[in-house]
Amino acid sequence: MNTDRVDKVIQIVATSTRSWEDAAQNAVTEAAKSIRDLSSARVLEHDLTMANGEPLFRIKLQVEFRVDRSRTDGAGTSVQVRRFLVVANQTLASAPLTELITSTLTGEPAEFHVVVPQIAPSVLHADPATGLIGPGAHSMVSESRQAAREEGEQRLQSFQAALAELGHAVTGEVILSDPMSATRSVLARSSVDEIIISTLPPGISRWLKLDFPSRMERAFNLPVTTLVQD
Amino acid sequence: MDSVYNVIELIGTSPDSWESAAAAAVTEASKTLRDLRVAEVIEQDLLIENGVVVRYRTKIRLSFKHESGE
Repeated sequence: MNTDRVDKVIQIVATSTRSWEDAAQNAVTEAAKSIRDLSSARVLEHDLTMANGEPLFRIKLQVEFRVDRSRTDGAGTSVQVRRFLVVANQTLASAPLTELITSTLTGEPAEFHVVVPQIAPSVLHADPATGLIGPGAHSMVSESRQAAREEGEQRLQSFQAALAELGHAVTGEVILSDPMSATRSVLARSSVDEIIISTLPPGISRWLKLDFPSRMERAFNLPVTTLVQD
Repeated sequence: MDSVYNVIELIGTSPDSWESAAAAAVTEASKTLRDLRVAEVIEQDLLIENGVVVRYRTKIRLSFKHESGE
């Protein structure tokens, strides 16, 4: 049996209004979105802060996970997998992306993780009539952030369901951010070999206009494939 | 009078919380040790299965007075 392995060590901070145990579960849930084979976590620190007169339990966990490409298949032999990160939002449901993933997964040992970057407002807008930031502005921002998250989650779930029908499992998550930051945060707690960006055609795609493919290639030093969809 | 203390470390586990994991270790220790005063928490971790926390572990340090047997 091959026991060589390489692990990455990361720290996660999470909070809960209920308990440190609950905060730890929140951290684990978040990490498990993009990390496979998560088996244990060590508590580095915990503290308590007060938020609006209520205690907020905060915990810092250290988790270790495998970053090398060796996996053990059903027969017990060691195989090397290629790990892909798919960055897609509006084009997630399209046939070419599904085909690409399906043909890759049937052809070679591979793993896919999908990140759906959803832009949501984080800035408070002033009331146009008065020029002031009204008392409703905060809740309006959090409502539209919630709506953006739900929209992304729905898109992701139907995509995962479609692949599941074809017999393939992919992990995925929605991140309320631009593609660049979303990818950065996934890579901070995960490990991939290649990035696939799926986007709308030039002229329509904001991602291409902002040149995300080459910016990602430079920033993350990983091969980037751009899948343009009509 | 000079005193000598024994120091031991124990790890307790619980499916519910780090508190009950610590309590499990102390309860076990109190079966065989007298005059336990303070247990110091020195490490906590957790075990995960399929993205869910399944076990909390608390390592505690206990000190108790050394009895020379005189």
